[in-house]
Amino acid sequence: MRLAPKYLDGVLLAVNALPGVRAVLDAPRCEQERAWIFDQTHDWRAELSGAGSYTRDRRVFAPLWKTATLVQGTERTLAEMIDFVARHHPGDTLLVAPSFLSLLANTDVEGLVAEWRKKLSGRLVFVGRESLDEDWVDGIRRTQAAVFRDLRGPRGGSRAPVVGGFLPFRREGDETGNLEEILRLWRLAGFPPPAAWPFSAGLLPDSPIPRHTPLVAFPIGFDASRFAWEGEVIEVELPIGIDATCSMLRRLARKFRCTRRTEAVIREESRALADRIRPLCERTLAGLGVAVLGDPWTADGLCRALGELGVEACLVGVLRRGNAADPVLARLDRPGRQILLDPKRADFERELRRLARNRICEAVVGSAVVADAARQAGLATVEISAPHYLEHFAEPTPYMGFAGLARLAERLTNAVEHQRHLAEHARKRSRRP
Amino acid sequence: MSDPRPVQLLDLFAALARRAGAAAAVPLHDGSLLYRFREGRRRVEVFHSPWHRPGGSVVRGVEGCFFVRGATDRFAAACLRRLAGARTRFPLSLDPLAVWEDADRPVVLDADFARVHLRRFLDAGRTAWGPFLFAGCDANEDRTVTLVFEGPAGRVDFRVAPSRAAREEGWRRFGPLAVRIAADGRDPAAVGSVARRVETYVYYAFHRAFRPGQPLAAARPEPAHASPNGDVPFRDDPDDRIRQNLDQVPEHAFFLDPFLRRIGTQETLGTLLAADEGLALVVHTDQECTTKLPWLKSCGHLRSLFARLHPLPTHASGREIEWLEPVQAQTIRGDDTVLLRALRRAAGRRKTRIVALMGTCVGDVTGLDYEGLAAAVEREFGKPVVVIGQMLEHFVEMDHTWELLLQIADRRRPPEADRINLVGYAPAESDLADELRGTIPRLGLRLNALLVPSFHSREARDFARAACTVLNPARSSTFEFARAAATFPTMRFHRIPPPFGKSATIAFYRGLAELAGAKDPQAEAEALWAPHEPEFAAWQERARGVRVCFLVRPGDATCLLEPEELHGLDLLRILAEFGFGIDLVVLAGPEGETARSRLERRAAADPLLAETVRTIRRPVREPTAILATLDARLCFSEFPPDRRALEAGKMFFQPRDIQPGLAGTVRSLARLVRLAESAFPGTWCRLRRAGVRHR
Repeated sequence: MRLAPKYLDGVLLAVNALPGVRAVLDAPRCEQERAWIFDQTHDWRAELSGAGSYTRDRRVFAPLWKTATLVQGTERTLAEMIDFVARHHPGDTLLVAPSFLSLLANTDVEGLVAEWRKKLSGRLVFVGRESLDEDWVDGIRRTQAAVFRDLRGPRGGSRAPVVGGFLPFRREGDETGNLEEILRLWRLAGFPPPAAWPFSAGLLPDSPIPRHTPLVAFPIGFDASRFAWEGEVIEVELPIGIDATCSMLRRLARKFRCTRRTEAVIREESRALADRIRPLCERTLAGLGVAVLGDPWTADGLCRALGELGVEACLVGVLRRGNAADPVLARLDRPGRQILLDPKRADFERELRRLARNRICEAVVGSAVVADAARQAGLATVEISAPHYLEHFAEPTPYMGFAGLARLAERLTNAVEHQRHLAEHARKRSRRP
Repeated sequence: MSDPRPVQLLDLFAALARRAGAAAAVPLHDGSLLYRFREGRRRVEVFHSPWHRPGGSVVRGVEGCFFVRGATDRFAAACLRRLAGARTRFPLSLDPLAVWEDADRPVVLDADFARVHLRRFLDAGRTAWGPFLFAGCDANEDRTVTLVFEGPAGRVDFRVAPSRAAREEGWRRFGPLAVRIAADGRDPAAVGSVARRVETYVYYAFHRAFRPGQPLAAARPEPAHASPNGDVPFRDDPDDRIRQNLDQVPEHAFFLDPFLRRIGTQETLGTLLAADEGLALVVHTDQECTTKLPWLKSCGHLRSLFARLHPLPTHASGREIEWLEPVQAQTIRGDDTVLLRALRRAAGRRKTRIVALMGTCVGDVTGLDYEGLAAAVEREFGKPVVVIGQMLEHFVEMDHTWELLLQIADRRRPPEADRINLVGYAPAESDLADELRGTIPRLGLRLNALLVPSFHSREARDFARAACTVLNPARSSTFEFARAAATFPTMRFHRIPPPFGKSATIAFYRGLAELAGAKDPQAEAEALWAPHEPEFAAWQERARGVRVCFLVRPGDATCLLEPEELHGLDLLRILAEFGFGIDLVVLAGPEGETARSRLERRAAADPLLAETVRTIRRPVREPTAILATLDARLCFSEFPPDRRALEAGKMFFQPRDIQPGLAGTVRSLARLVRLAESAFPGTWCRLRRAGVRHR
């Protein structure tokens, strides 16, 4: 089984991050059950599947299909479902997405949505899809592009930017923490507060999206070819690690003309960060080998950030069906590091066990999908959000920005030291008569 | 897959007779039931009238009264005891023993007449009396309906009309209705046999379905919205179809819809995933099929949460499982080379005893021949390759899955008297399983196999080594293993209710001790319980004075009256033993009366329940408002986390809070007491109220 999440997972991540939106999937009923799984493994506070009596707060719908439905075309069941959801949730925007089987059955989802948009006065957003091989990043990108296209407000032109392309936020520990950290730096540097930040899980205003304003675009969800944006686009890096955070801040500072203040913030923050991470790096982190697992941009950011802490990423699993010529993937590739693109679970586990046995790797940093395998191999784990959680942190645990890097260093140190202690303790105990 | 053959009603009555130890059970045209017994050479007849009649004997816990003919007093008493204890499960939601269950509902003579008013007795196209299949109900223009029975022995039509309108001769009257045979195509010479006298059953059913004074109505109410009483909607409305599919729960539902208790895809895959290396699993999915998600730890969804009481088995790491996710090009081409290679690899492993190929909708759509591939690999390697299909409506149910998996059982092995199989009680890795492994040897038995939901290939191979198998009689478990059980015709099967709660646990171990041939099974079972009694008693003290409440729609009463419907949990009995007081709030429209009286009768028949259960009838309004009026501190809900209970200042509990076994019973009690004593609901309500004031 491949570890990279699928197109629908990306769509659900995006839907989860837009509180006023409901999704209708042109998929068999069992895809609706994905929402149950999502609530358990992605975001405890999400409730895509609803709570209590599931009548008022359910946010993902999919019709019941039979073989006859597929043979005759699924348009009718989809239309009934759109009608049902629109009637029962009159104030909400509906997002309609095709599934694997929907594409296979050649359902004209786009045509149907265009027809229903007129009836529902624009409350309907179509999330496109071209190939059966699209994955979760495509799902996120297409949903973001569709929302930025269809839910744009009539006014705009102010200096306050719109933020897009970020990994859709969840109200779980690390992502809430990341958003707080970015906003803290944003405030300190004196940038104008965002006019809208769609997909921020309701933590910041997400609609209407003003026109003709600058768009600050992060790489995961932003695809220049799909975003038809009238205003200026400021593409920035994910702020994971010192260099990437500085790069993001300086790029925005040039745009918003607060260079001097930003430099002062960078100086101050760097000093505080250095004091926090020095003992950790000296005692534990320097020379440590870890495995990293995540989407290409997060994996790249983590590798560079960990490198700044003196930690070597010896194995990188990239959760993306991409081609190796992608610049991000090319940047990841370096001697002594193994890259597994769109890995199978069994392959990644096997490699982890080998590295653990040879004591090349002591920890896994990244998505929780292999956390149980890592633990069985005796490795420490530091969960970094997307796509799944096993440990749902109630406290903010950022990994972006300066405070995020410090927190990441602390978590990694804690996990590794704890694991070393356990290993030592287990050895002692086994020697006992 | 479900059996396409119709249910033979004669067989149901025969099964009922066997259950009661009678030679036969015969429905009579006045609605009563005749049981035929034998006392030596003497023939004894017991008439059971569901209504009280002068001169009839009354037995506690049984509706109506009895008349005994031809028996000695001692034998009569024994018969009545047996009849009082005899219960049986009927398929298709049939219950020919039902009495006036829907008798508060106004009668409408339309095409839905049989489906709505005779649903316990007849099911169109699926029930037969002897050679007569009940074909359906036709509505006539003159506000009458025709019930049609047809088959090789001819056709019989029954005309049903309002009693007022039936003035001619030949009508039989049942409450507000009159019935007569309108067309009879039977051979007159053969009409005398019970199997041909379909009218006897029809009249019997009408007596038990309609009461005097039951109102007649011209039309049914429009089912635009689900009834708060949780009734099945009458017509096929797109909204209703969608609601069912959404698992949308009516506002007043605290019990799951029976549909949601079905074992679904995830459970099937869970069983296959948790198996040992003897089962080589090949999963062929599309790239985003939900089927492949359960390997995620802690993953759950509605049906997997509730279909079983225990958590879903998850992926046992280290075992080779072939997950095939064909890419676009392979899917469109219908390329099966990768699948074939995977099957060969799986079958070729030394440890493989059986290969399970799990297909999904994608194979259905692209037309992959799973069965053909499986047969080819089976021929090549000589190991069974079974196809567990999970495709749209071609859904291989768990009963068929278990039948396929138990192909590997070695049926030639002679049974050994001290070995037993346990089916449907616990996963192999669970607290109860550990407990059973410890206690069963103390009873002088050996645990041969512990199957359902877990599958272990060695245990499956040795299944026939046990002299008997103990089956969990809960409906889901029974259904799950029914087909597999039928493939072991010489094996003895016993049904012992699962060990939930103190008395059920003792009864469970007593049952096992009886199978082991113990001299005093009760004493042995009580000896097992004895170490747990002090802790149980301490918690029980804390439970006294605390009340637990249930919000019951009429349709939900079955879950409290028949534990088999609720995973074998006899909730009322368990909670009463724990020391809790119980409030049963029956949401009463006019249709709640029957449910309330059934619940009251159940409570009255059991001295412990009579002390602890209080039945309250409340009009249907907002559940939170109803709950707020009760002094109970715990509220039962199968939809946790249930905010309706929290908003009323109550903590909720769910079936999973009740754990099986000796230690499990004490743990359950402790858990419920802690939940009941939790101050959180009060704190939450206070904070919310403060928040409202602040705004």
